Amino acid sequence: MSSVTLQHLTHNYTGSPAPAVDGLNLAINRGELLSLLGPSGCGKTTTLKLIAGLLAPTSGDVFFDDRRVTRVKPERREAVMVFQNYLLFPYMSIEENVGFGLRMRRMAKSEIAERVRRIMALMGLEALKERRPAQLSGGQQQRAALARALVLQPRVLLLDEPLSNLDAHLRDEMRELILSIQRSLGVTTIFVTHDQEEAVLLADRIALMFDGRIRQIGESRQFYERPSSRRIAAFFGNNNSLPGYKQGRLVSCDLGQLEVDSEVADGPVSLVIRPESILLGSGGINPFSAVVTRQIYMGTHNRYRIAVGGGQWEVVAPAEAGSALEGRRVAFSLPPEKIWLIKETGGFPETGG
Amino acid sequence: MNGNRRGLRSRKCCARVLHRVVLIAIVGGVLLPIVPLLLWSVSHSWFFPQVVPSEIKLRAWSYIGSPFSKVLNALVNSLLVAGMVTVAAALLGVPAGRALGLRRFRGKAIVEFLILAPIIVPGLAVIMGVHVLFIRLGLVDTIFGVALVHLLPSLPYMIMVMSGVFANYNVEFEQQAYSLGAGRVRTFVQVTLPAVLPGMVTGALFVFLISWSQYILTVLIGGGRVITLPVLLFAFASAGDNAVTAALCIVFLAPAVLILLFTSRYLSGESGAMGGFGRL
Repeated sequence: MSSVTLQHLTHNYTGSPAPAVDGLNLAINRGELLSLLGPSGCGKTTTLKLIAGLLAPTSGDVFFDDRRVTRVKPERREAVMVFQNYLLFPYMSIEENVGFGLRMRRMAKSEIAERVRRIMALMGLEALKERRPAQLSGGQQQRAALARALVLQPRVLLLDEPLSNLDAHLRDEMRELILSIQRSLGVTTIFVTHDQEEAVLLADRIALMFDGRIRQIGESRQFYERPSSRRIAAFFGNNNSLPGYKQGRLVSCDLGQLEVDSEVADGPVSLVIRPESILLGSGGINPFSAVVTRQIYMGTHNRYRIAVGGGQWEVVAPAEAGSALEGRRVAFSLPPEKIWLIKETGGFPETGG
Repeated sequence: MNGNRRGLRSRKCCARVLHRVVLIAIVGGVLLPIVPLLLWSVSHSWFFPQVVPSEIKLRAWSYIGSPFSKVLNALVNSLLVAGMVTVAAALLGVPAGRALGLRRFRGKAIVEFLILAPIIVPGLAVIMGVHVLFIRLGLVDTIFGVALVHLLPSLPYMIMVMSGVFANYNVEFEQQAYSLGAGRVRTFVQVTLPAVLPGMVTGALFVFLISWSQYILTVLIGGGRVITLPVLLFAFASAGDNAVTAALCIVFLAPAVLILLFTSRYLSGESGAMGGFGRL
């Protein structure tokens, strides 16, 4: 197991105007399960390949523990990458696939057989060892690809979208498998995903990437409760925001004046509040009213859209019988402790962390 | 229900009969021309309007088998030249095809055109210039020179086939191998080669057969010193010895048919790796 440190890591694909990875700084602890989260094309997979050594950085360095591995070839790095589409070698049996890395290390045949047998048992692959990759389902292929990486006992495990090619029910199963194996082996794991839910469910910490840079890093809770920009809030499913101006304990915005409880310095801010934090009904602090434009029944709760400040806000509230609010004006309040303020600087309200 | 099933069965039967007919037609079309060749090779006198030769003798075959004829020598030369050309074409064509199939670079269209040019431009037009050059380099009248000039019309096919293979090839398989601890050489042998081998065999087949049937380039560069089977064949054909010509034709055909038989499993659509790993 190693810690991984990225220092000013930059990668520019030839012919591309902007770097895919732009001055990345990131420290991953030993045994940690970190998620690199971001929309497609934000440089997540490129970062993973830079750590694996499959791409050479334009500038910057990669460290495993204290050792600089920037110039170490991928086959000597002991950071094993599992690709999104599994890439099992099609002309080898599953057993041969899993043993590939050990054969490359010129390990004794009996030793290879024993290790392969053990990992295949752990991953529930014994029955499939004679099969070819093409004869396996997606979930089985994923498990085989994971076994092929884990059998090497890598210092760092790199997973590229490990769940995205699987059906919903398989995804839950595979997530639990990855989690339990990562916990039991304690291997430092970095996994790339575009799905914030996946990241929240699986990762110890999340590093959120936009445009080749890490914008916020921390535990998943922080992304919901303390997003560092409106864009990050939106990425985590929260579009309830308004620009405003803070003065002391008050913020003036399109709704009017609000009372807030925030450490942010006075000046232009963005006001963000989660859909479930908005209280429907009259009374409370910061009471306002708005027209419900849409009501969606979600089973355990209702989801409402209300017209606020020229845009749409979302409110989530328990589903109560007969509460048809669509088209009606409702009262709501914004509890000050639930209002999150983001400091905005000049004309770039989108750049947070 | 019943009638439907009967209809289905008769349709299936129909398809099977059609399948047979087409198969027989194809096999017949390929094999039938060999029958008169076989007859010619053993005929002593065969005049119009006889359907089969009136007298059968094995003179032509015993000539071909005799140590005094140059047939064995020509056969070895042909195999040697075609073998050298095939190996050279593979060594040049695989990396070239890889570059063309996987990379995008400025002037790629021009490079592709130049590679195809030897197929488009008649060989004879180029060969005169090449001839002068080869004389200066001392490559004329040598087997090596003949093999070199055979690359001219054959290499483009190898490169074309390989660029097609690599266009469907997923390089990430190699990255996966590196990541699992395989070095460059072993990655090539264990991962890349199995994926592109069927394409390589197809390309090699083209190259071998083009070199195998080359006449003009052999005669010009070989200068009559390097005798290959086609050279011998033309000599006997123009001398009017039908029996020996026919027998030589069969000898000439044999390796091509043999190679085709041995490599047919790579050429069928069954082998999944036909297009690299691309379509898995």
